[in-house]
Amino acid sequence: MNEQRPALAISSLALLVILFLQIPVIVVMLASFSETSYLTIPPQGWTLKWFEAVLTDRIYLDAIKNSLILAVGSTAISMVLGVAASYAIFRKMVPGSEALTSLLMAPLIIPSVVIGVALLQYFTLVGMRGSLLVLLIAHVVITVPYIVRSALASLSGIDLAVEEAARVLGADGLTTFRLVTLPLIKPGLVAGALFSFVTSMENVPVTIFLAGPRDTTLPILIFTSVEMGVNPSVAAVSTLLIIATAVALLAAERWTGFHRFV
Amino acid sequence: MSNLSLRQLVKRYGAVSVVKNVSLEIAEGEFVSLLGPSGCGKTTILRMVAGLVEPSDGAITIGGRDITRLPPNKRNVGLVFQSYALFPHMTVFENVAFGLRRKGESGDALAARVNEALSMVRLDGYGERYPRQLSGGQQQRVAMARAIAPRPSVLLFDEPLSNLDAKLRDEMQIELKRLQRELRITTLFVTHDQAEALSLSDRVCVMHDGVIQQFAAPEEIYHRPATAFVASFIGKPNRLAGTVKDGAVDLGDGLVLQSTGAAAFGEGTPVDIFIRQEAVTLSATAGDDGTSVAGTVVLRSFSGAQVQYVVRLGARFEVVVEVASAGEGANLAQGDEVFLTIRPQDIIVIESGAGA
Amino acid sequence: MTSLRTGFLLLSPLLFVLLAAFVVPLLLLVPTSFQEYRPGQGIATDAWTAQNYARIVADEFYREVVLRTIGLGAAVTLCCLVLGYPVAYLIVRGDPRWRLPLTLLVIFPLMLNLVVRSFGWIVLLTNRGVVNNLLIDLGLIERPLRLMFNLTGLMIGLTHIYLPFMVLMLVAALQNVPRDVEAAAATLGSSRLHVFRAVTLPLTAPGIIAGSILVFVLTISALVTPRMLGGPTYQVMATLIYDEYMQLLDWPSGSALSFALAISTILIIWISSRMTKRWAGLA
Repeated sequence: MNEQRPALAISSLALLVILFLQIPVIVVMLASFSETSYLTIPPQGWTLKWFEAVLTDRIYLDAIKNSLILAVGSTAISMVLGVAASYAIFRKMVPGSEALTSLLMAPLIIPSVVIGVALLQYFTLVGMRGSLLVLLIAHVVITVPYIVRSALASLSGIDLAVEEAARVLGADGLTTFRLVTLPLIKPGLVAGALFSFVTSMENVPVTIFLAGPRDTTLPILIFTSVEMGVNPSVAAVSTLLIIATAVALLAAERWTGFHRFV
Repeated sequence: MSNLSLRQLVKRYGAVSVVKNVSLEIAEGEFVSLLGPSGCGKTTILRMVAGLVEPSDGAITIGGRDITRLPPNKRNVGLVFQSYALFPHMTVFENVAFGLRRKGESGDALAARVNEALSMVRLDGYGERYPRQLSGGQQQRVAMARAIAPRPSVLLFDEPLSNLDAKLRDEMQIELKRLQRELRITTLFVTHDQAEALSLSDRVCVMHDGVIQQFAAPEEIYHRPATAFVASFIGKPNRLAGTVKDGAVDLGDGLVLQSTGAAAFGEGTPVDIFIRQEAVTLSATAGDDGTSVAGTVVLRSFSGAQVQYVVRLGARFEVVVEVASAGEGANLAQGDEVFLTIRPQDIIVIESGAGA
Repeated sequence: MTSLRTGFLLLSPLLFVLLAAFVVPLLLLVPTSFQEYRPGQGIATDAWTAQNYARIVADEFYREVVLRTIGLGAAVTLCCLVLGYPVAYLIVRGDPRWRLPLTLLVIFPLMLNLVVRSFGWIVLLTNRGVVNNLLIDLGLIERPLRLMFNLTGLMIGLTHIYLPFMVLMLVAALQNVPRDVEAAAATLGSSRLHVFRAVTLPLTAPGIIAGSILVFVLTISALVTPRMLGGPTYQVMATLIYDEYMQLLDWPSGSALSFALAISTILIIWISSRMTKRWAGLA
């Protein structure tokens, strides 16, 4: 049978829109290699000096380090707490599973800026402002919904009888989880972890209220520095982020078929 | 000794009892089927034996050991699931090895026992494959190998053949019976398929609404059903209502059927009679022993080896009759007058209101 | 029961974190929003007032910001829908070989740092940016167009940021439309356009609504892109909250505005999920 394909006009429009989605990415990358401090098309002269500037700048390096610590740390903590909680909810071990799920997903619904100001006031009140620990706790709150969402979705996709089979074959509860449940939900969890990592890595609205002068993160640094105008170092550090994101996305796609989880 | 015994087993969910006081003694090496429609409690009983459902009351023992409150991993039973429940992320070998590893087997001894189990289900050489690379029938065999490999004291089957197509199901039935005879493992087999239950089992336990209706050998179940439910559930029976009169059954409208079972009931007792479709012979003339009744063919349908008729008896009854397409009465047409002959011992008589 | 105890053990660490660092902080914002900010003195704790809320609708400046935020949300949602539908259609109904690469090209900007994406638009839209330079070089304009710090810049930036969400929602919706139903309409004499209007579009309505709600809610709560492309003068609700906390130190007003924003998003999501459930019941 001859399956009808979309009309040429629709396909062309769609491809233009997809191109539109890539434009800022392309422009940022061109800007980072450009000799001039502002960008022209085509770029006038190629250079790596902006990359050198970024990679020798203590402020940038510290911001990158802080961002990585926060992203890795909050994802790891969210993963442990989120998977444990999701499993209890999924198995209906406690009553009120629907209300509990709503609570765990709530940080996704409340606007980040509101969470930011609430935490600013709260941590000021308890005298904990301006430390990486505070940021870590805040990032767990905003990343955990992604873990919970992917864990619950993955859990609902596995045949309950598979766990029962393991139990009948002599495995205790923990062994069953380790040998059967966990491997089966792993692809979904990897996707959730990537979301969590990206969310922490790019967060401004919560972080900006809580970060002290010594624990600035990379997005905060970019956010505040563009208020002083376009700077090619920002383009260079952005290019590094673009490359890292592309590599992570392709790796996740190869490894887990990532696009199925978005 | 690994006889399985259920004593006064009860399962309630809130106010609803799905298993009501079920007691069952299954001898060592015996193959018993739990047969009944969906919702009759058969699967719940199986899951209670496996430890996946906690009984509300009663006791379960295997070989005299009380396992009622033990978790499933301490019971040493084998369970074959309806969905097979193979571990999709493990090879066939690892699936079969799973139970053995939990018992501390490893190395060559483990490999030997896995391969032994695989060869019992005729899957030698399939160890390195993944479940998704196998056909439904092969997956079914892996599920069986996985259940028998740790040498359980009791084997449990939860409608294991219901996901297979008809031809494969017949093959697997034979294979399953052969395997069980070889291993002599006490087996509890849950099914809603009566042919499967009758052909596989030493004894069949027919259940309805959480209660055992009859627990007996297959022939007994088929020929001498204990309750109206069993009579209507087994075979493809026509059910007619009448009263006992002179040792026969009077259906009204001048229709009287001779039945050996009727003698057990007093004159005038309201009864239900059950006539299996295949127990009726059709002929153009009446027999001379008074066991024939006249009727009219309403519908004929040919299905290969059999011909089915809908025959009207008197004004109120229609019965379905099945005859061999090569035999007598295979070529009647709609509207033909026929005589139905039923041997008196083939008419099952059960007092009205006795069970379903 | 042991499973209750296990469940409690598994849940309590996360519940503790969320209570201590999410629920309680939000609740503590409530009293603040009813306090009075006195310039030069700080927050008065001796009196309660509702004027922080009253101002949101009564004060002309606030009202403008709120209306602008809502208008922006609606406009961005509409743009995303109009631009996103053809993309989703191409992904689902186009050549299957292109499905994965195109999907990844849609996901990629989504995974990319928000600040980086907004920065990209600054490079493009600023007075001496790529677009203006290009137009001047081509001789189309003489002085740079004002593309940032106004509605144009925010529309372009926010549409770009939230378009992938819309596309992914629509892809999911389109995948659920059975091709047989479209084929049935075609055999009954519908033209391709009519098949789309009478069958495909109504069947993807749940996805359209879900995607629109998502984009709308994300747009009205956005802080980063409006700030980077709108600057300190062209305000929306989120940037105003930011300024009230960080620049003006008027926490009472900021918290009242925060609640107005949070409650709006919760209400929109709640109402839409109720409506979707009712429709699902009808279908």
